[in-house]
Amino acid sequence: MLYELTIKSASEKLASGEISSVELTESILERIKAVDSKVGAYITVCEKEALGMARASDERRKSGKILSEIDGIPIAVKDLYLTKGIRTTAASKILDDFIPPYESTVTAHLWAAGAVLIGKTNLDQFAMGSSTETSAYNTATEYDSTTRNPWDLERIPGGSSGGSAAAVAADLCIAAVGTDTGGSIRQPASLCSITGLKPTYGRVSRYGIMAMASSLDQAGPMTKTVEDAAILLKYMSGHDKHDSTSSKREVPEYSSGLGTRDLQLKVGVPKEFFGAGLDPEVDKIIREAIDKYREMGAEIVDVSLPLIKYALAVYYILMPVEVSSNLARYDGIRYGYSVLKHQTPRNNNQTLDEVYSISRAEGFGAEAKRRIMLGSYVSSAGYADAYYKKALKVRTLIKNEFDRIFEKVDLLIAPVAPSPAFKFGEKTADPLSMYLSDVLTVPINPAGLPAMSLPAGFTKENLPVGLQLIGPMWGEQTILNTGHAFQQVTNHHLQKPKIK
Amino acid sequence: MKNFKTTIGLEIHVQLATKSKMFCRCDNQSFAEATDDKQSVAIKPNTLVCPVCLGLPGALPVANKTAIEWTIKTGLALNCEIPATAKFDRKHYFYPDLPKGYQISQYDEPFASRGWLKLKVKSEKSTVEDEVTIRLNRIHLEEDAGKLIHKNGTSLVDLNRAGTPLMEIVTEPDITSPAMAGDFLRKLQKIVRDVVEVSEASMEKGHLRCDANISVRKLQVPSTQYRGETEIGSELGTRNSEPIKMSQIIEIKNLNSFRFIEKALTKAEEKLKSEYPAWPAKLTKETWGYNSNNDSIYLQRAKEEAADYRYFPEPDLPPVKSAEFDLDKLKELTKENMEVKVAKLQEMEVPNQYIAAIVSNRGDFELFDKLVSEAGIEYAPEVARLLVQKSFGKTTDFSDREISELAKLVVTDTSKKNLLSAIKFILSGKSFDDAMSEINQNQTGEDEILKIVEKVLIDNPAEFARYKVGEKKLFGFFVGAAIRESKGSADPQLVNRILKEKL
Repeated sequence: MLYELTIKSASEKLASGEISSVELTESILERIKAVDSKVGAYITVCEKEALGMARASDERRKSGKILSEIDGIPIAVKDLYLTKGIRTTAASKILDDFIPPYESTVTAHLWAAGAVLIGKTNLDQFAMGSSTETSAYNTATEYDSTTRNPWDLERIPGGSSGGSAAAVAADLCIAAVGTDTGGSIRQPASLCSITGLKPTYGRVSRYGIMAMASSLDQAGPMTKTVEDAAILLKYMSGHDKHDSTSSKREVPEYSSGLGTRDLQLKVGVPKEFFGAGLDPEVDKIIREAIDKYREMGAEIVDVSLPLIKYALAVYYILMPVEVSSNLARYDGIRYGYSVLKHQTPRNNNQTLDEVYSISRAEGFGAEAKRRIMLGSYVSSAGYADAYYKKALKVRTLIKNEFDRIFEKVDLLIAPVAPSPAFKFGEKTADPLSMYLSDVLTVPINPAGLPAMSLPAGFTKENLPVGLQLIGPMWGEQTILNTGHAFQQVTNHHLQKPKIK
Repeated sequence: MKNFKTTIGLEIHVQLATKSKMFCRCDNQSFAEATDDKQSVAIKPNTLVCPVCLGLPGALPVANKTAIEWTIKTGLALNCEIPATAKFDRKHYFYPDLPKGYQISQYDEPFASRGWLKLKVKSEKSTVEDEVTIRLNRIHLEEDAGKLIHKNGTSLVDLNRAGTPLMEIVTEPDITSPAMAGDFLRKLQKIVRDVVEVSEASMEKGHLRCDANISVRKLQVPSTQYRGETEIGSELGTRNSEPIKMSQIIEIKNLNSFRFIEKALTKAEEKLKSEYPAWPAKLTKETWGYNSNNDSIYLQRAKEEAADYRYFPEPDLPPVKSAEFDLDKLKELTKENMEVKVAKLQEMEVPNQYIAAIVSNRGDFELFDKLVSEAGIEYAPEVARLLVQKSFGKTTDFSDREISELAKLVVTDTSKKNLLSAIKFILSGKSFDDAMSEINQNQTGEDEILKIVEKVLIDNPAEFARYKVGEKKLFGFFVGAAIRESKGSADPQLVNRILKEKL
């Protein structure tokens, strides 16, 4: 079926004239109609826009003016990226009616390269969560629930980019884009058996993507193969004059660097990522992947990152502080949910403070409010020194520790999540256990490093397990080469879920 | 009511007249206002805005490098230290004119710190002027908020001003009288406007805004009763019925003229003194406003709690290294440089009353310097006097030839009339030759007008006689007749002058 194609295979078929973008897009739209009521990957399916963009692509192709290798390829976009004229919600009621007046830099790049917007995917509210359960939208209408894992509909898809991961896994798009603040690309990629890359901080512009924690957020590709991730990353990357933290470094031709099966590199296995709490089946699958790399010629060495144990604590101080600040603009004055729009004759005389507090109390979900409170607390006078400022210092130490390790090894290899996908409601009652499910992905973001999750195998219950490759700053090419080599000798990434 | 000591500290906000806003490329309204008043009236609310200054989701700030450079330049002119690294921070509070829920400002690493400004003050004891030094705590850069408009029971927000670069200059509490506060502000205005040229600095237009803090202390009178210091904030003072030695602090916000600042501070000072000895035991601060209609102050906000703005480093903006800027070049305009200029002028025996004016105006100084070095330093006092009396205040690159021709006029043109006209013509963009020919033309024009005027007086003997006996309103008749005689080509001002001489 056409919807099963990758960017690579679809672009070849488009180039040869075997298929048209409209056919490809229609195939995906039909697939969405067939299964998305079960999976619930999308908040908004952009049928009209998609077909229009696909037709335009086919026109370009006819006149020999295609824009790039992704021209005509349908791509799903996490509903955190602003899309001009198309409702963008961050999966929060506070932006239920928000129609952005401008386009995010990343999606603008994609459309400029001819890609087709297929829809806006579900996510944890404002990207806060690890299961997509904090979304305000029950997109899986058949179950009246948030997004479900295509591999087992009783389980969550991971989060926060759960909709994008489920869409890629269930062939509801050719590829998707997500964002990763503490694992939000990698963890759902792992739980849904797709490839997800979190680039180096500064590789991809953040302009037009709703900020969760500005010093940690980074957008990245979520694809069916490593090869596709390499292709998509190229179009997402590059300096943006609207984002002062985006890098001016040249963007390599990532996909042309792929190919080698001989891995002449030194891969570190950090023991702290294999500690207590790691599911034995996950442990076994990752060890097998490591053996595979050894067979392929990589030198495997044990390494230690003793400060990693503080990373989760540092993250859950720094992240909420930035969250509490970044969400302050949702105040019910200029856009979004406002009590001023919901006044009744009985209730129409709020003070300014009430407009703020009622709009925010009714608009934000519980997790957003929890993090606003946490962040406000640890950055308030009298506590900022003990928490926020100390966490900043530890962040620097963690970063230095990674830098030292990467003087010795080319890459680190580790699991992505301590366990496979869990069931709905399993962790929502205990936020701390939910936070702990991020323990293996979170340390990467404060250090700004690139890291990728790719399919490494399945548990006895046929639940996917991802492998995490962590690189030094700007080490995307090495990560992609190494991941691609793995997919040349394994077929985990080719497995498809059977959606019942 | 003797032995009181007044302490005043100022926070001055200066809107920088950059082309674009602080963190986006929208037109900077303060600049628009500064260049064209009529245009600013026509600017519709919320039209000079973009996703960044509207605080839309996903928008990111990009710092205006010119605004940073101007802040550093101001810092150098005010003898500040420029740290190697500075950064922006977020200052959080909710208000409808603040779209992001935080203001991007600077907390602990501003662009400039620890400067000073010297002031001449009249001594109470003698006629000699004393010099005092007002220390500056810091100069930082931030974004201005929008404006709220309250109309017909509704409040509206205009975000055109949101994101205007705002430089905040904070003094140490070194100012000891309302008059000194006024003098300080006048001098500061001159520096930002004429020396570093970063703002029009008009208080009326809100380019320069000032918040003032004032408190009064009672100086110690030697007393056998006295048993040690009374601590601020303790209740010891009241319990032991010893007088509290410091008043509360009164803050007066957003004053928009130097005169009002002095008046408001004077009122506050009187109030605080009059309340002695019933000063509060615990250090408190109140915000008072000033009503210029009846010259009085009124309470706005009592007993302010220190707000918690939860500052933290702005993650969207990398720290700024001063090495990115050519500090040496910026330093050319610093006080140090001013002192070199002053010394130079003193050496040339330029009278003291002209020196300050010449060195504080870049255009005038450059012209002075060039003319004198060409014409000879013996002309320095004369050129200085001319330029101060007729301050052009404009910078232009004079060509070597223009300077040498102008210098010739310095020597030969005893009345200096032609010299000043030539300078004026060149500054308006004309070449020296054009300037001179126009001056010469004017001169022939003058001769011709003289003839015309004489003719008009001869042709109208009756009117001439009536004028001579006191009918002064006939002056206009002669002017009209002369201009008609010249077929409209005569300059009315010239006709006026010549007519007056003749009559």
